[in-house]
Amino acid sequence: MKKSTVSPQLKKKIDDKRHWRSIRHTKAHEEARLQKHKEKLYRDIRSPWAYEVIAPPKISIYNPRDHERTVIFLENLRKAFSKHLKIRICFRDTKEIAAAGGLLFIAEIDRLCTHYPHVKVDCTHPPRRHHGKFKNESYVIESILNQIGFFKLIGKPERKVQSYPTVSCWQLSQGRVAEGSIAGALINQIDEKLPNIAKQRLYRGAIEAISNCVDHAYPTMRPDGLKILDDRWWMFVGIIMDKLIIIVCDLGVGIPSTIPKNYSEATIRAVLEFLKVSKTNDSELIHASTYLNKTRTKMAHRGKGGKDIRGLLDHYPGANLGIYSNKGCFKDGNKITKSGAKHAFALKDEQKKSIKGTVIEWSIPIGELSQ
Amino acid sequence: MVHSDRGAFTVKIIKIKDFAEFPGPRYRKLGPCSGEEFRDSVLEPAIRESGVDIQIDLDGAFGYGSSFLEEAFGGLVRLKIINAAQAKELSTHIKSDDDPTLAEEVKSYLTDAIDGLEQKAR
Repeated sequence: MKKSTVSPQLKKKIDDKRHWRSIRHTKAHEEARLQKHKEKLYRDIRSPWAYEVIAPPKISIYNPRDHERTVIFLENLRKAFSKHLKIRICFRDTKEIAAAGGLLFIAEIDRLCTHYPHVKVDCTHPPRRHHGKFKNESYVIESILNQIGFFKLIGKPERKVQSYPTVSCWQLSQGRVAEGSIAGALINQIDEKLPNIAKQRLYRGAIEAISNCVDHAYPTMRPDGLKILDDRWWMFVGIIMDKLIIIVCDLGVGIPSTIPKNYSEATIRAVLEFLKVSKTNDSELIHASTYLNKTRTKMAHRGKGGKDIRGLLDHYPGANLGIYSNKGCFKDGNKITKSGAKHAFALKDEQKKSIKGTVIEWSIPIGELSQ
Repeated sequence: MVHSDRGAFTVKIIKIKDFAEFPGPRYRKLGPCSGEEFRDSVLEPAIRESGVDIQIDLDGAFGYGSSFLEEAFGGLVRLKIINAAQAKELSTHIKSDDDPTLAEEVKSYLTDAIDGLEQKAR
């Protein structure tokens, strides 16, 4: 039959038929798609297979290579939590967890576990290592994960492993507001024999760093694409190689992003000129922030905290300060020569990847604290 | 708060330890036991009652952040709870036997706040 010969009534009938068929097909297609998605979800939950994230050999941010690997690991964790229902963190290669990297890792896991409670997290236990002259079995990594509360966070029962005095003294805490009692309790727990004046100085630095986290770290959402509102800070206190280590960490926007908001343009320019800096990368801005704190904020009476954060270096010649924020890293301390002379030094380093947050670390020789 | 005799007068002694063992941040919004809270709930009422003839005892607390001290004492001047002369007098009534530098620090915050106000007035 030719098209022109089709009567209008018949044409309408055919069009209607086609119209309803297309609706039926779209609906069926959509139902099939949903069913497929449901089956996939079910399969994911039931399946023994989980998305695996492999931890780096050293969870540390102290040197560029480890910094990059640790940050990539944390990025992979964030991606895994946002896209998968089952995750397995594999520690088969991990031989070392350093203090700052460990705190950053546990803060990230804490944040992700809190905001993705439906994601099941499992881990492969770190293998035992053989250390020392007699190649004794060592479970240091697992002991560290126990101590920092990793297994509690992921809801996996802890195995009883040998405890190590260098690890069992590690203390960790977190908070949302600047609560002095949390910082004070941690400092007290670590060594009650410390003289009061030392405790006061440590407390002073810690409470100011925590106040800065609460006041400045979270003006906007963290730029990691996850849209999680979590304005907590985490604190670590421990003794490592005869040094007291105090670390305060936040997962906020980072010091380099907050400087232009808290200081006038003229002040920033003046400090950068004083430091003879033309580039404004993250490490330069962190360095500038220590001077900005010494000078002034937009409100003249504020900005006293920076003095407290650097203050420990004035009291203890062997103390070091490390500030890691986004891609920047700034280290400040004193070098004591063989003749006993004290020389101040400051190191800046720009890393390839951003930690998306801030870590402030003090390390002070125990011997100097006890004097 | 304790009262003690200083000559013929009875002096009110404010122990910060009684307010908080762990003095906190600068502002109330940042956390508990802040400098702002101490100034508003302890220092200001005491000054309104007895003027600056009070003694402030810094001993016994776990430690102080400089923001706490600055807001508590510098804030008294900025909010015009005390004037320059009273601030100078108050700075001589700070007791800190454990760490004498703290009393000096508080004194500097009071002086800086007076300078800040004078600069604004010009």
